Amino acid sequence: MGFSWDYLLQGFSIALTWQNLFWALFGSLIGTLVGVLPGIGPSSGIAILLPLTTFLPPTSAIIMMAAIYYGAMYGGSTTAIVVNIPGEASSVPTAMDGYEMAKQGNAGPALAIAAISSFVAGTLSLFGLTFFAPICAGFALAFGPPEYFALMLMGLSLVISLSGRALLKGVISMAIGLLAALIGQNPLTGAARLTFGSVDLMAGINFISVIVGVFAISEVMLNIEAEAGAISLAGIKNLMPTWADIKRCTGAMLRSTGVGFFLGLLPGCAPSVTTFVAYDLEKRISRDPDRFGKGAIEGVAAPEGANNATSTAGFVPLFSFGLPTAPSMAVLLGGLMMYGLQPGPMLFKNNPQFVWAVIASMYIGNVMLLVLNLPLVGLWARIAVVPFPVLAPIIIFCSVLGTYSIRFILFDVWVMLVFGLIGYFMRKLGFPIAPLVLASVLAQMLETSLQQALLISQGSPLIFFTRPISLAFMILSAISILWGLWVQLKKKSRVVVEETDE
Amino acid sequence: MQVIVKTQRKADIVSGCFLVVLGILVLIAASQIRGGMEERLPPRTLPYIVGATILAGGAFLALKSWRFAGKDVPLKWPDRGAMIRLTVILLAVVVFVLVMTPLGFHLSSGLYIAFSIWYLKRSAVWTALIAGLITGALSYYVFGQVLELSLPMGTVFFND
Repeated sequence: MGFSWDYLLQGFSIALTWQNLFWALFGSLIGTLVGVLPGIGPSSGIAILLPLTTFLPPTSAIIMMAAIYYGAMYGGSTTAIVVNIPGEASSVPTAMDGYEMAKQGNAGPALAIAAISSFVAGTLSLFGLTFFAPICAGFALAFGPPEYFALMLMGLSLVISLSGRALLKGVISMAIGLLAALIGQNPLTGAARLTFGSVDLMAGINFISVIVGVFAISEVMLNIEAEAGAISLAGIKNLMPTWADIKRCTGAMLRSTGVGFFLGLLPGCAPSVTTFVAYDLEKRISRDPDRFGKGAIEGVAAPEGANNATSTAGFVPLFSFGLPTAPSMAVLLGGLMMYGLQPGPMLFKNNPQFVWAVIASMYIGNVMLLVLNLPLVGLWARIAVVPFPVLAPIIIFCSVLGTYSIRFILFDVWVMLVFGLIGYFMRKLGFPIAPLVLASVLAQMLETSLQQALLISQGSPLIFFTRPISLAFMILSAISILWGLWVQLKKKSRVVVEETDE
Repeated sequence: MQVIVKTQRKADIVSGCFLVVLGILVLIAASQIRGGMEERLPPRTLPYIVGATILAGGAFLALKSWRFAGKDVPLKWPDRGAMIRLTVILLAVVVFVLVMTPLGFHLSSGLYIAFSIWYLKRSAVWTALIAGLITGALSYYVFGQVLELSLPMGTVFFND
């Protein structure tokens, strides 16, 4: 299995139908909005809208969801630059120099370079996705249940180890995610588990309710607590950067694409991690590092490029292995599963039109976002002025509607509210949220592949260590946990984990 | 709560103890899962592992924090005003969900939006009313009529 021009062109022919163009545009608009508004992140945005897309065919729905995701990556920079409020955690490095530029009267060039860098990195990493994903999928064809189990275990352990100094809390967070997913009927035997005789719990806990709760509701609660108000906004003039600016940023765009794309292939390396790495790299190799933090335009180009490259790279493991590398990807995986599509090598084999149409639509979406972000940047910045007291109830309303629409039972809404409280306390007490989300999405596949692997080995767990690929993943899992332990032991001070919806 | 867990260390001890109790509950519930012992992976195995992980993780967290002698970090809890704001908004959501069946989704969502916006921004009475009306109307036409989602219509108005 490899790259094929025929499939890509076929993908473009599907992505260019007016319906799919419309949903890509709609997703880009919603995504930019989600990115611009500080109270809601891409995972919540996708999770809230996911159940409402059931009237769409799978291809259009996933095209829209993907557009929301990368659209949010474009939009996150706007408020970071104009008012020093990053819409997403990944936009924090952008704010460092972007806001300084805005204060110097250069908000326009900063916004424009953010959009151009996002476009360049997004498009280049799409080439990476186009060529890498089918190769990885071909490799994944050799995977059996033991390899899949070990791969998912590796994904989870990487996400936990990247919880930084909160490794133990990362493990507990993962266990809570698994616990939520285990409630209800066992998918293999039908046995009721942890239901305490409740009929509602028999149906199980839907992971969309969990995700919307821990992200959207807890985020709204934190903003209400902080009494987030309206944002004041200065006018944006001189939109276009000079040629000298573009020339100065070219290297930063290319380097950040490489950093963002290759790190983005790893589970747990969310844009909030890679943007800092890319920013730091630019600062280190700069001839004049003192300019960074004082309005260096490369300090805007680098994190924005890495941001978009990482978000595109996440689709490689998602499509080829069915492995989500970040919570947003976990929600997209949930979307695919909702439509009965199982990501992984068989997706490329059985549904090539679908995969290639989504990939082709991402090329188109990137162009759309450049067009939306360059001339309309002033408008987007003004949307951020919507006061949070108006926005918060609307986000909660959308969350209630979204979770209710999954199965049309009120129980899901109560679950969402309970997980909203859990998410709020987890954030307050320094528990990372990403392991919980990933575990709740992966639990069923994890259990199924473990069951199948044990069937093959007649109950012997040695099967995970006797097959080379599975052994490699198991070793990587162990290394990532040991690395996490080392990071934790290295610095013994107590740090509250800062985490947002990404 | 503010008195008990003012710092990260105390919060970790309290959450660790809570997790120990949760882990024990999960283990008890897992022991009551029936059948499947002939399976290679009996249905109670993963719940046992998860319960044990939560119990052990909680115990370790509580003990580690108990013995922690380094510099503690204060936790930022909401002040009285923020606590009231949060409670009212959460109660509003609970009421919204409770009245959804009798009043119907569209009416209850309009009322919820209007109340919440008004409560969070008292000066925006008209914004609250208009937003409530628009939400109710959009909810009815877009989600009810166009997308045909089977949302509760209200037992007060429709005896279906």
